[in-house]
Amino acid sequence: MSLNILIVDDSQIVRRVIKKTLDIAEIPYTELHQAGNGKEALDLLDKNWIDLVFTDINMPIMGGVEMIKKLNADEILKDVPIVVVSTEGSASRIDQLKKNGVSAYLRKPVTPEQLRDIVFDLIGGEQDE
Amino acid sequence: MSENYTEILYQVLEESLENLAFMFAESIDTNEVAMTDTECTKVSMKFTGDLYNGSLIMIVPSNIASELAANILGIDDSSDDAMDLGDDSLKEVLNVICGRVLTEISGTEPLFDLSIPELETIQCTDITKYLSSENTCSAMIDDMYPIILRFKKH
Repeated sequence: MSLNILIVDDSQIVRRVIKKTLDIAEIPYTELHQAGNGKEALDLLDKNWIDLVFTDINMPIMGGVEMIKKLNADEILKDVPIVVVSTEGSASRIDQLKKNGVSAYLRKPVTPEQLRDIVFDLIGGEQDE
Repeated sequence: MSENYTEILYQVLEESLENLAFMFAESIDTNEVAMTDTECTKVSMKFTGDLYNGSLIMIVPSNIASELAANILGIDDSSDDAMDLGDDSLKEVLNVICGRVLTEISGTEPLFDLSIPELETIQCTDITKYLSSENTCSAMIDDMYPIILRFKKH
């Protein structure tokens, strides 16, 4: 299993932290793409094969909710697993996101263990006993 | 009677800094805050929600930024990366604090929309107007950097 992953967050330091956490969690990836907002992410998704998306909600130009709705409306992209990584803790927001096709929700700060469990759950792979 | 969230602000600040950046905050009285630096950074964000709207402001000496970025990423604080990502790290710290403060105060049921955090450089002498506000907490980070956090419902 080696993945093509897309990280969407307007904060460069958050994108770096998620990359570092993926490395610590020993999640194998072939390509790691990064986008600063939903619009950039949709452009990348249009041009590249992506197996898994990590995205924030609050971003300029196009936020995570709008991006997720557009992905969900696309026949090809609607099956790409999306993991929301956000600071928000609202249960109604999380329910709303899951109804819109989000596979999982992680609240910042994220630990390598949380990330590894989510990825293996969504994509398949070895889990710790 | 107005509600007092100072203790919640301090707890969230302490936990967030420790979890994000392995930095440790110790509460101090607002009248003990002494900014010895000349340049401070004010980071602010707004929130709108089902129950109320408001803002959260964080003020720190500007020279903490690169150390914060270095700690978050586990890199040298004099590296170019740490210098470049300092402002970004301040915004992210406030972003995390804001999400957690709202949950601590109002629970997980209400929905809030958070704005993108904004930075402003201010003179450290200007901080006195924030210290006298309600729902303001102050602390020392790693015994070196004073920090002020103010929560306000509009």
